[in-house]
Amino acid sequence: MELEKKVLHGIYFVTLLLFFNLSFITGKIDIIPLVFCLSSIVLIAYSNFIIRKFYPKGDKFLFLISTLLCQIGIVMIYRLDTRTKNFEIPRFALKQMTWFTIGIALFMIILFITPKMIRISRYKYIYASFSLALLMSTLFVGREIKGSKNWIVIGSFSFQPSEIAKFFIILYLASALSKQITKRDLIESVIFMLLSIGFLVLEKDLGAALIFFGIYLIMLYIATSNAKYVGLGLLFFLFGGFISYFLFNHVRIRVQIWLDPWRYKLDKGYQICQSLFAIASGGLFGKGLGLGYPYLIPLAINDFIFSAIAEEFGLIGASAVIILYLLLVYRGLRTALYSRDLFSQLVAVGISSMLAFQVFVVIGGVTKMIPMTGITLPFVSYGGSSMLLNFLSLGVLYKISEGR
Amino acid sequence: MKEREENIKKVIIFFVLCFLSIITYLIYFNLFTAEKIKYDISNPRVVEEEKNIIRGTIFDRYGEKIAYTDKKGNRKYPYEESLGIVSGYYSLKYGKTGVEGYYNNILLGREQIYDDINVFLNNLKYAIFSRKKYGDSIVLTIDAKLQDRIYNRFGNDRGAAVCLNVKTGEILAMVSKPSDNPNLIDKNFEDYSNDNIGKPFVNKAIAEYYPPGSVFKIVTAAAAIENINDIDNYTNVCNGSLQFADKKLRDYKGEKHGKINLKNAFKVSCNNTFAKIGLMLGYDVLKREAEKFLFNSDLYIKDRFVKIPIKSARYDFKERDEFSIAISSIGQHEVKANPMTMALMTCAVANGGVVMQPYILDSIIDNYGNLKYKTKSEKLAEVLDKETAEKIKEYMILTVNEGTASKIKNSKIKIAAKTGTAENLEGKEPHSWFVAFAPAQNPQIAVAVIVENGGAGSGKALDITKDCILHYFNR
Repeated sequence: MELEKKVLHGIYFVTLLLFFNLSFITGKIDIIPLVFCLSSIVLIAYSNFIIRKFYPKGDKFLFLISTLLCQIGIVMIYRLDTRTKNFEIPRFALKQMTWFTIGIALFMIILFITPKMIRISRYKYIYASFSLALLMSTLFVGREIKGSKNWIVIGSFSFQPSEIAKFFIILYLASALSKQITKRDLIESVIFMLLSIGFLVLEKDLGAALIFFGIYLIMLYIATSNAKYVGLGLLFFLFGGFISYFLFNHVRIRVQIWLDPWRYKLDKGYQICQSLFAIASGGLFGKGLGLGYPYLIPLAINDFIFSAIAEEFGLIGASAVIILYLLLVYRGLRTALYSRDLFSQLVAVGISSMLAFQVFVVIGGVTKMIPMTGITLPFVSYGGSSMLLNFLSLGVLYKISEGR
Repeated sequence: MKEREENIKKVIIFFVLCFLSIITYLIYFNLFTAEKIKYDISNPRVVEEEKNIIRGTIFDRYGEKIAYTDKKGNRKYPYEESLGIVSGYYSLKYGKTGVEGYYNNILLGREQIYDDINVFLNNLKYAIFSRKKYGDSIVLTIDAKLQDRIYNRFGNDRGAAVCLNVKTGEILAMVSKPSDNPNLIDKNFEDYSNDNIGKPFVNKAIAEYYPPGSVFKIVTAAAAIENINDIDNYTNVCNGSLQFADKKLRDYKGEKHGKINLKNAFKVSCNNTFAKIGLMLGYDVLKREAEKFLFNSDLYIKDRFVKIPIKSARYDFKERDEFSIAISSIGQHEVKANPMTMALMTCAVANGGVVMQPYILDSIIDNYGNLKYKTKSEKLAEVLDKETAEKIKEYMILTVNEGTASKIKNSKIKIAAKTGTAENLEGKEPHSWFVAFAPAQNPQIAVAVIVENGGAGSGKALDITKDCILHYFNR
């Protein structure tokens, strides 16, 4: 109990400090960041109060770590907003703040309406068809943004179906694998995953494909306790990667850029090179919030927000973010460890590994550790659909943690 | 159930390793890759950072502005072309060259040379209270007016000139004609880079090769004095030409000098005599002597902060038949040099055999006018012993008094000099060379000038040198 309070106060302090700093960066004293700060703190305090009051058994650290990550994201987005032309209101930060609020509301709603976890394990075919429909939808009505045809645009609202499909795939896999697994079930899940990943590769959403694959392997491993499947899966991965390298041009380009981005620094490799410049200029302690040039990175509020953080907060700040994610993933898997039934356990493992893989693929990508694939950093990157999905998953995870 | 828990723990360990590997990679990246890519030209940060710093001024030795940033933030070069090759250009589009490039970190105030606590405190004040920071200013050893004068004296000719302080190694002028006009770099960049004849971006004083021609006779004479016994009593009969197996070496206009000794042969620049001496000495001795004069070695314009490479003179070739060696001893064949290396050679003679390290950075001052750094002159090499140097000095004085350089003789100042005519391409006018130092008795400056295709007899180069020396001593 005491520790949670301390962490909560720590979060208030960090939030206060960051937003206070933000109100100075434009050269004159700005009041909007303080409004942001106050509303964030009130929101966090209030939601925390509700959780403690009505759902005290769950793992509050899950919620606390996520809100801190969200605050870091909003601060960074605000900071990048100040560089837009004729800056008056922080357009994206305001939207992100709204999404954060809606996300927390969604989290509460999930806690409120979700029945006993075991009951939602019955509808595996609904989950399967729903996620396949989502994935397929972009092939027909999708729009190509940032080189991947994985967006659906409705009016002024655009979202990535693969983000939401991720969640349903976890539900499907958990339901399919949580009972006595027959050969038929196994083959069924393999076919389903092959289809989903196939769609993603066709839509050039390689990052999501990688994450789906990772989630599947881990859930399969936990469900069957059979390391043979992991080995087989990795073999299949190598084979598939090899084939798609020769089959698809966009896969080949990604790999080429990864191997030598400097050769393409003005065209195909522009993004990754700019991202590396940002990280390089950050150094150990970073330039300091508002003192670097993170707005020079393309897509700085989305896919490359980690590079922006690394530039202004340095290696230390970037490592802190990574460690926050590590703690979050750890708390998620710890939930799985103590959960009562196999279905909940698998869902918890699925959600945790989804977060972990996503973080690894994004951060590894923007630092050129692995080939770049455009996906968002959970809780931090700008984006409504990813924010909602993350809070949805978090709500389910919290619900599971209650059951221990 | 138990097994499953074990497996979840394994998964936790797996993700811990994944995340730690990212942190490890980031540490590696910051340690080994970051420095290498930071200043890549495609990094817009370089430009952005510089926008917030008011670049320091480049002064000449007398406080004349060579380059400065005006109130609107534009970089201005009052001397335009004539100092273009020294200052270099500063362009957001095309980068930086010359002093602007080499001393960029100083001009941006990035070089940490806090000898004075006040400077440090003042900088701290600026870092806290002001976004715009000031870079440091540079004082060059260059005499801008002298350089301007030499540059314009070239008229329509191409060429290069170097003027050094013999005693300290300070570069007083470093002319390359034609040069670019750094004020107009963004407009004219394409034209400049496409000009393959004038090469306005090449500093011909240090980065071009020319055959040295008769100027090289200084080296051959020094070799003869040091290696041939009883050279003072040596005489040669010059009949205007020297016959080889299939080639003939002729003196200028086929002039027959008759019975002649080394001193007089130097004075009239007798090819016949020097070719014969060259053959007596042989390739190895000539090469050794040339290397004493800093041929074939790595030379730099150097101070604590930068090393600007000088294309060193070459005496090094494969084809070593009699004719080749004979003409190499009069500075033809594969012998290569440029005004800087020839000026250093002249310095050796003028300064009793000692060559000083050439340098261009006199001092650094911060924007409050405090001196932050001053270059101290250093010895580069001891080329000759004193007696040999004195002897050649005497020959060079004689060359002015009654030899090929007599046109430079004047009542105001005593000059010692050597002329040179360098054959280059067939059918083209030869390059005209001139090296000199003054005053002859107590030398202060050394000058080397080449006028491309300036014609035989070094008339044009001589005029430029004379103008330079008289201007310097009339200040």
